[in-house]
Amino acid sequence: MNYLVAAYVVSWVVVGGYVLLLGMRLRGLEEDLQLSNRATEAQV
Amino acid sequence: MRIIDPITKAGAILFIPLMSVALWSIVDAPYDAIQKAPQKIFYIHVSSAWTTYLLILGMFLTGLGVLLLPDGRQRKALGLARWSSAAAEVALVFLTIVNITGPIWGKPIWGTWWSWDARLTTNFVLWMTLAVYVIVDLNVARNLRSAKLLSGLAIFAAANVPVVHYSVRWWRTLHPAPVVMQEKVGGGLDPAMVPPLIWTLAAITLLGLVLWSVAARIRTMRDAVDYQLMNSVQERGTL
Repeated sequence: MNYLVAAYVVSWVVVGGYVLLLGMRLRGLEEDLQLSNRATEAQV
Repeated sequence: MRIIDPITKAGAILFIPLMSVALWSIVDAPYDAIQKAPQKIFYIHVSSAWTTYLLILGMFLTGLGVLLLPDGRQRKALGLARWSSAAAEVALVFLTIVNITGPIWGKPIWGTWWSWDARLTTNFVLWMTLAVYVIVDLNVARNLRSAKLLSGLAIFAAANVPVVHYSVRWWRTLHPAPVVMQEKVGGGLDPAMVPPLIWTLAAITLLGLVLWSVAARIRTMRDAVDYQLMNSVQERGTL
């Protein structure tokens, strides 16, 4: 049973870690989008 | 500005009940007579392997598109390259799950975490290939030349998949031969184990497709934002 639980826990940790990574990329992207929009407005 | 499209969002929301049903059906499924509880690792292990194959197919097809499109269609080719690299990254995640759940399953059954038999070795080579792809992709400039180079690597990785899959038939291996997709009618899987396998396959496949879409769209927006910021710096000398 321990092996079964370990396998599923590790699987979800790996997927969860990747989802976190995507979330961090998304947040960075949103910040840079705001920066880019401000720069465009300043140009106009 | 919308980064993630409604279909991907719907898929992400649908995944939650689908995975819940899959987990419940796994808990409800009967134990294998010989392997007992560790055999239930089968559901996540096989589903992750299937999703990896599917993503590598996507990586291969989009990579092929990058190589076959004429030079005049550069924008389209770069678009396909983003989807190809996203597929490689997500495939690496699921192949990592396969390579972790496999040994965890193998230890109580075979008495060893790892063996350099044909299936495990070819699988490891595939994992290394995808890891190299992701590392290179993270460190090269985003242009058509690097996209084509990576597409070549994608084709090499995809060519490994049949070798990985048929290794258990071509060579004598510690890893068991296919249980689900056997030549004989009915296969080797207990009928009571089929529903949890189908539910888990559906849930993990959906998760793989959602993550692929999200990763590709982040790449697309990332390139667009970088291009905008670069133009702004060039024109104004500052952000």
